[in-house]
Amino acid sequence: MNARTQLALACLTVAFGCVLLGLQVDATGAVVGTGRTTLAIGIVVSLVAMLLRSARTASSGGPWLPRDLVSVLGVVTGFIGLACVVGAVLAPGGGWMFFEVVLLVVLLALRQRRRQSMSPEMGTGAITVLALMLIFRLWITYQGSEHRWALVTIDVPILSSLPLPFLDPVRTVSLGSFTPGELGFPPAGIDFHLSMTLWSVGFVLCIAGMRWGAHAAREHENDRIHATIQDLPPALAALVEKILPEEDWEAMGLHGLSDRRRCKRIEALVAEKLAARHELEEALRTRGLLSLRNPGGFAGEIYETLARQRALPR
Amino acid sequence: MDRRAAELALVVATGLLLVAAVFVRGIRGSEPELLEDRERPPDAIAEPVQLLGAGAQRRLGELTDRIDARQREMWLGATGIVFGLDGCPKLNEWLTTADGQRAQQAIADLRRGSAHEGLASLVLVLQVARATEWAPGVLGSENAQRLGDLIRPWLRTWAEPAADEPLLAESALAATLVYARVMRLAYQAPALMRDDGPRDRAKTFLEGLTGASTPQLTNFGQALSARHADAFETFQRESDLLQGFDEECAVLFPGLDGECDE
Repeated sequence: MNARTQLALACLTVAFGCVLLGLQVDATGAVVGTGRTTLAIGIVVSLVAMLLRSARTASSGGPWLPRDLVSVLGVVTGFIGLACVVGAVLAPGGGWMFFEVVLLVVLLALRQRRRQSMSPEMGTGAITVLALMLIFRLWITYQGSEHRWALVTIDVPILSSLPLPFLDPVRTVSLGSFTPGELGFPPAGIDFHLSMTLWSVGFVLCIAGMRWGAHAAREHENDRIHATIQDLPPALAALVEKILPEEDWEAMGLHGLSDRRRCKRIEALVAEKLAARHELEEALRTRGLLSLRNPGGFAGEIYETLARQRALPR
Repeated sequence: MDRRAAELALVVATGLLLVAAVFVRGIRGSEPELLEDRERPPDAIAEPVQLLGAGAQRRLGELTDRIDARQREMWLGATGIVFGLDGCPKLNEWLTTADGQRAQQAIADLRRGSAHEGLASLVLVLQVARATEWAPGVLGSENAQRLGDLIRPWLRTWAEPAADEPLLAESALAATLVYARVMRLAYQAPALMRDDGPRDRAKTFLEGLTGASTPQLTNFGQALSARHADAFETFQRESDLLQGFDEECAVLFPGLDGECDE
């Protein structure tokens, strides 16, 4: 299975996960939607994260654009998948949601990556935070399904155990209240177990699909670069691949370029690498220390290294 | 070429799923349909809840015609007893009399019959509730709890089937409200403390009936939640869990407080 097919399958996985994240089961067993409001918030978060990341990585290379249909699909699916995941894990409205949104934007936009990419990619830290937020969301959904419209209800010691009717208002303390509307519950109530299963499976499919897609997209770009280099005569192609090793192609900014720009970039990189090598050889040839005897210490270690590499003039 | 076609198929499928992912989010849930809002068959009894109210005696004939001939004599005898009851005797004492025992037997036998006979049984129970004294007093709430014992078997038999039976749908909900009112008066009877016995019994019974303590409500629980949403939520959240149902009962059956004031 080549990288293109893997990328397409990964996109299909994410899309299926997005469908599951958009559904819930009400108390009568009917399947209803979770609403488009949280999706809209997720789209905003994804867009802001993507723009911040683009601004940070713009100086390190040319614009990264998908160059074929499958790559475009990967970018679009990654964007919508992230929006669906973010929408699924957000707490109900109010202060919680605000802080969660800010946290997600920071995590998704400021992740240190040497990779230039338009598609939002998540690291282990971001996935962990999203998973914790999902668990939080599932908890408050469970509370709501039990008609306990608070994050946690604490029984006041002693007062809660006294059978005195006039103490009813002070028996319990509720922390973090919310409403069925904020949670997007259907009018008939929610079947927590089935809904939780849908959301959990959808979350896993989206995250796994996006990670899979990111690897496949990277491999797909490497395949395109390799195909370009293989257009050269075989001996020359082998030489270029020695000068430009595959594990450095992404860092060199070869991903996401058009065919013309990729050829130009390879040409420039080969020239750059060869010039650097030539400069190093010249420096080794002309410096006086090559003619010195081993002086010992740090200079002596360098002397020995040069001798082993046969860099000393004969 | 095959690979290209497969990739194209995957791309198309993904696109369709992404569109579906946005579309399905807009599917709106609907309120559960109330059984009493469905079209009534032409020969069905209209507004059967009226047979549970103070003016039931005016419409007893409609129910009599629908009761099995073998039960009809017992039904007529029982209606004569309970609708002719005067003096507002205490419930427990009255049930020990010959009339009280005949009425109890009729209530039990009719409860085991058809839907119309089940309704007839409930009519007798509620008339007993209106015509006897069961209000809790200083000495206790035994009379109220006894009335609860009369209602409970009926709910156990007919609550769940009533969710699919237009004749009994509203009556079962009304019986639940009356039961809640009776048991709330029982557990609030003590001046300062609360009697947790009747409260816990009512809680356990209604939770089993409605499925409130399980992941999915029963059909009857869904009907009760749909019809009396606030009261049902109070039942699930508050320590005075029958307060909501009691307040709804006061609207439906004003004056039904165990003092024969109706």
